[in-house]
Amino acid sequence: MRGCRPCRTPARHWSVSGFAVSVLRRVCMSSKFSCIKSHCFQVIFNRNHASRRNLKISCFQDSATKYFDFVVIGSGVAGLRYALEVSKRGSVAVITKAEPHESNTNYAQGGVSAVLCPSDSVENHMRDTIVAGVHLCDEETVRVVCTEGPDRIKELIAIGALFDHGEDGNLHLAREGGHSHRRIVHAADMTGREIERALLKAVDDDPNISIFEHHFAIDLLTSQDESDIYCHGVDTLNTETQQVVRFISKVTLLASGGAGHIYPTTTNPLVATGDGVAMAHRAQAVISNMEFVQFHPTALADEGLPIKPNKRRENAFLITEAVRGDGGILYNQSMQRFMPLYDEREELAPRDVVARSIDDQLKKRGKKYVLLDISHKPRQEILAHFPNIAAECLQYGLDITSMPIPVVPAAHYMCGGVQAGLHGETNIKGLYVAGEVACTGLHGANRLASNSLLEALVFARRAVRPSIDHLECLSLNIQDSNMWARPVLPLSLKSNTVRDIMLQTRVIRTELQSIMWESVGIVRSTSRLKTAEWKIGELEIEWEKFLFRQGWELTMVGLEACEMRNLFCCAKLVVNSALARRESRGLHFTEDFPYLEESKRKPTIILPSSSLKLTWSSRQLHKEPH
Amino acid sequence: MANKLRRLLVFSHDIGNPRVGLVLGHARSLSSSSPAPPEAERRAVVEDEKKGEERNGPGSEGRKVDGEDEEGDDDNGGVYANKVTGEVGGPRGPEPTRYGDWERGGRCSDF
Repeated sequence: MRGCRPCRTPARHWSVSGFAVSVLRRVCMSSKFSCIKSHCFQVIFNRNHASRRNLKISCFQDSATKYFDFVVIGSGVAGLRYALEVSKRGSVAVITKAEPHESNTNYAQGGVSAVLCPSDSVENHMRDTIVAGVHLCDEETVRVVCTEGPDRIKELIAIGALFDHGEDGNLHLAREGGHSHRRIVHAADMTGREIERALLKAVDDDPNISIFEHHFAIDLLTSQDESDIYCHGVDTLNTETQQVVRFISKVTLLASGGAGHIYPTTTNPLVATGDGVAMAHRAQAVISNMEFVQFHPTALADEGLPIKPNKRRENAFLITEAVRGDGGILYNQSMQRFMPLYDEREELAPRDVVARSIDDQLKKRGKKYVLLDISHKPRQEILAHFPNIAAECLQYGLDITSMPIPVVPAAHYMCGGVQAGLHGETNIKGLYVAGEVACTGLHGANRLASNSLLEALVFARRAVRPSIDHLECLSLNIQDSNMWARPVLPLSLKSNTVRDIMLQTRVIRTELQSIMWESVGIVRSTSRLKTAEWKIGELEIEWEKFLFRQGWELTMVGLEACEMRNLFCCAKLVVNSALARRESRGLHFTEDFPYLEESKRKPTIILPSSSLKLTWSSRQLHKEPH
Repeated sequence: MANKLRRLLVFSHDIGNPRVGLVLGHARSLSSSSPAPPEAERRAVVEDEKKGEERNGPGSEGRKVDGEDEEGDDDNGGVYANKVTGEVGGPRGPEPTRYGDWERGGRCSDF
């Protein structure tokens, strides 16, 4: 039947990759009964209130397809905070690719910034944010975040997060670089972990929220209706059971975090492979400001340690600025002190300058690390102030009281991502974003310390209202869950072949990271970026050819292969964005345009790619290739 | 997404040339276009903290984080309270943010 007689909702004409698919049935809701008929399946509704608005779909337990009102991709602070709110209005699935606590949030150990001191002001926080962002921030976003921050902190406390207090009973507020006032709320030095703990506990206690761990998100399920794109859910791979699970949802929140692993040295945990940005880009979402990648200048460089760690370090050990502040000196491997060449403030120059200087030295000399030497200070002082560094280095045969520390910059945070409006909305209807995966306009060209947890909290909350509105106006149009071809496991391939593919993919990943570090690092140039563009393109073609030679098919999925697609996608977005910005601003520095250009003070926007020349990595897996 | 191209609030005292670092010899200027707390301000913050430490008695700089330092008192039923900042249950030893980033024992966890 076309359309629903009682409520007269007309059927919609859907287009999916050139095919017209008509909706053959509508769900008819009235206060007396609810019914749905489908030629493919039956869904049973639980009507717990008389009101038609408070309808919940019970999870239809077909193991291959699950139905929820809300699906959240990612279990960091943004995803969990959102889940706790929307669970009051419907069923929620939280999908996370490893353990729930394995997210960048958990490693965000500093604090959350908010105006909580009477002598502080929203205007101050705004100004600090905008100055740090080199005026590329969206003013309204900054105002909203700085204004709503304090309430979000209070809610966190109400949810059970324990932050440090002063003797006067008030929250203890610290002050970090770039802040004009004390405003960092923290829990010892494990704020992210504490917030994550509190949120996870609340989520576990919430009967409306189901967490699906070890579910890797593959591609968003979308359809197009003339000029509008709609998101209907997400395909996932259960990496424990090696099964594809399709989630159909009315509303999807993408909160999948960062993409540190496009670089070889990063503070991010292994899960941060840019899955969200890549999926959104493939689904035709607008991406913004990907060139602004934040690096920390001095991470411990394993290559320089006398005893090499036998396992590759998953997230970098950052050496604090306090080492330089206390008198540490930077040398290149020829034992030349190089900071005076770059800045009169020498080792005390701003972090960005230090990062660029180190990067420049490494590129010029073709080396993998520089040296940070504190050994000229008294031994007891070094051990008292920096016991963690001392202990870590000693494990690998390095005594920092007598030898310099090998350091290299590490990728830390992506300021850019999926372009979001003031409520986390994207250009795809039913798709919202929050957290590091989003580009909300808060960070601009550089993130202010401790603003990332704040951004996640504020936008997770702001996305709730429009999500609920979207849910309620959708009038429960259950899609034919088979409208999109299902991804398949590589069961037809021999296990040797699958293993070879996995190994080769790891090699390719290392190569991609190498290209990114060499050519899309901290100090950039047009020629190096163009080289990167070409090399990455070639590498991707080479990898895909290898895959398909081994018998890989277009709709096949595997964790390593899917992560590799996403890494390629994010890497290309970073390169293209960097090429597009012909000025230097904040985190993006290019030798060919080394100064700020007022006329260039706008975000870098990447629109959905045309369907020409798309690689396998660039397409949603369920689409038929042209 | 027209809202993304809205006019940004501009602070006149910050427009203009980036701070240019001193260039010596053949090295290029890698001046920062993003500001950071001025060196003087940072030194002042550090000095405040150091003064705080000195106030608590000589040799306080040599205290380790393992609970041996006497900067705070344990009158609150065994919970450590920092005499300088008034923070209860916080980290012992030098202020983690004294150089702008968040550090404990030398490892930076936020910046």
